[in-house]
Amino acid sequence: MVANQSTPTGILDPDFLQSVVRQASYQCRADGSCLYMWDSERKRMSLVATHNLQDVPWDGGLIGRVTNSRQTMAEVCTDRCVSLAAPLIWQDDVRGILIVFDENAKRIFRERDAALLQSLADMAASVAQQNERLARMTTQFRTLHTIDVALTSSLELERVLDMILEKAAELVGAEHGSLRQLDPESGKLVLRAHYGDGWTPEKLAYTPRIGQGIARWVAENRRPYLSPDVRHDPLNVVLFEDMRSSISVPLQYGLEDSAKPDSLLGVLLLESSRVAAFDQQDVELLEALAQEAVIAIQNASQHQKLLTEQEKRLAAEKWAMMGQAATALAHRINNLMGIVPVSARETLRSMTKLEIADSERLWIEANLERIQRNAQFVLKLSDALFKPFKDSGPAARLDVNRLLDEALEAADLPANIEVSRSFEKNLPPVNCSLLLLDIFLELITNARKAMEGREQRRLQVSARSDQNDAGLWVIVEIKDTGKGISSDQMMHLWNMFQQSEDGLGFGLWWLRTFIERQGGSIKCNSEPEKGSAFVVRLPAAVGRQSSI
Amino acid sequence: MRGKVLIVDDYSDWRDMLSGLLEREGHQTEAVGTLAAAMTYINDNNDLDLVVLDIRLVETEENNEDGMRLLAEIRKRLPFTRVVMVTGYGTMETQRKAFREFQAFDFLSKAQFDSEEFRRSFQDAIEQTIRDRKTWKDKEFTRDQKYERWQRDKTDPIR
Repeated sequence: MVANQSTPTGILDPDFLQSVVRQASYQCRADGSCLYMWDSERKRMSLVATHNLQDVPWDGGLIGRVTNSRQTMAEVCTDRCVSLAAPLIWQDDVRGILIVFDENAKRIFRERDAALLQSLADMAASVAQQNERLARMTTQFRTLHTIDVALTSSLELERVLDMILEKAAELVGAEHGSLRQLDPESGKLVLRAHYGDGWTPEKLAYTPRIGQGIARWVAENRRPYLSPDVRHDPLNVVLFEDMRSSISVPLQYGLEDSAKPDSLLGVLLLESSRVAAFDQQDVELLEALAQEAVIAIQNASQHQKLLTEQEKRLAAEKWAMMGQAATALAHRINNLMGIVPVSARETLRSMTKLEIADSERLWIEANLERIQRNAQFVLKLSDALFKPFKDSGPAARLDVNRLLDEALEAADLPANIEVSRSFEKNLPPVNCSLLLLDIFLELITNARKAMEGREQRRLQVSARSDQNDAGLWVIVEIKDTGKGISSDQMMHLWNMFQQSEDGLGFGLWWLRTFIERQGGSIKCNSEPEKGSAFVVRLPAAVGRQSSI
Repeated sequence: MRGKVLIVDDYSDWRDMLSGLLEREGHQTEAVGTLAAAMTYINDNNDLDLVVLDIRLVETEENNEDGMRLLAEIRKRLPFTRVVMVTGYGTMETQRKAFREFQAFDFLSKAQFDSEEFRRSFQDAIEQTIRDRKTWKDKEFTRDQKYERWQRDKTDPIR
């Protein structure tokens, strides 16, 4: 029920009540009068206005008698005065009692007096009823307005949802509440906001299963649900012991389109420790709030999407810039440094034609070999360092099956490795830089190295498509029967500076960086002494166009 | 077999090194550092057997068009001439491009330059060019001879 109904005069102006009481005395030509109104907080009738009343001349039973009879009653009071009482009735309840009294005990209130008093009482009741409706509408309007303002000023979803739930609870006088969002992937109703005390970690972790609880019913039927007493409701799942009534509405796009399967966003549920605390009007109010919540969720997710896209674009620009710089630098280093080992080797080659003392020859050869070895190391280092920044070029539509074939060919695997390919026919193309070929080659080369000196040498390369809610994906798996990766190594697998056996460790970070930049992901499953499997997921390119 | 080779590279040390390698195998080489010089040389030497080309020279953005023109020119004017690409910094992508678009004979990386591999490669390329050119000349020669004989037969009245 609306909160400000609790004080008896809260919905009626005291001056107005005073004038009603005065009018009652004058019209009925009585000595005095008074008005009782229902005080829902103290749960009894309270005196709210009096006229010429020093002390109450009637017994306490009068109030109860009028309330029960629901009509105007004349009575002779104990200390020899007479009274006439009329009930104020609205919404089918006796909400107040208007009383006039006369100290002349012989006075008889006539029918005219009774009719007059009753019409005054009816008028006051009707004003009170109107006021109550107005007050309730004003409160609702204020709340909706507050939410509207908040929605336009905050795009942080968590905050907006918290606020909607809090306002909803305040508005209908609930003590506990939850706002659950439907996770389209798992179909679960995930708790996004909660209200009230006593939310323990267990309660926070609770997710209603299919066919279980009021929230689930609302989600499945896309209709509001009102439970006046949850103790007698088989649908209810007890989360808070002392809760008695419950109200729940669905959060969905466009109410007229409720049949659409993907229109449901979540469920709003509120509870109260009072029996029958909520009514149909509360349902309508919560439905309006639910619409606000839907807009909030849409706005916030739209905003989030924009932010992510912007971040991605900025990152892409940064990468492109670094890529250009890195390419220029790597090119220079390779040109300047690349000539060193070649020169050393050519000198070594010419040395064979010269006649010099053996000790001199050995000394020169050792020096040249050192030059060659160290120069080659620097070149490898520069390669590892610049790889992730490689100017990956523009994205193209690529046929993954063909790329895998090409990578296998380029890897030039020894004959003692058994290669099995399992490529899905009509695999959708991916929109990706051609550097993907280098990625596949690197993974295959790593697999070859891991299988060196192993008894069983089997390389499985597979490509398939996978459809989920995020779209269509192409999944490539490269699996070997190599020595595997220990859990220790696994921890640093994707690190930038991973120490590996050849001392060059730059980890696989550039692989991951590249794939993530293409909107994909890579993971590794490995069992020491059994082998490793690298799984690359890339978003499939949609639309029909030729691919390379 | 002695061949005629053009080296195009903007790094003088690489020009000297590559020409040294080729000259020591007895080939006649010319090394240039710019596209303009390369064009001039191609215009004057239609008996070129091999071009060793630094791909970066044709990949630098502002020079790209020139590089493509140079390659197109080589393809158009010197159909027998083989092209070996070298690159300072390339990906599999550039390698693909070299073979598919530029019909390169071979593709070598400067970062892992193996001079023995290079020797084998240019030797093969030069031999192939010379052989192709000879086959073509032989064919032309036979065709000319056949034509002459036919002319003679036509003019000679039958006795």
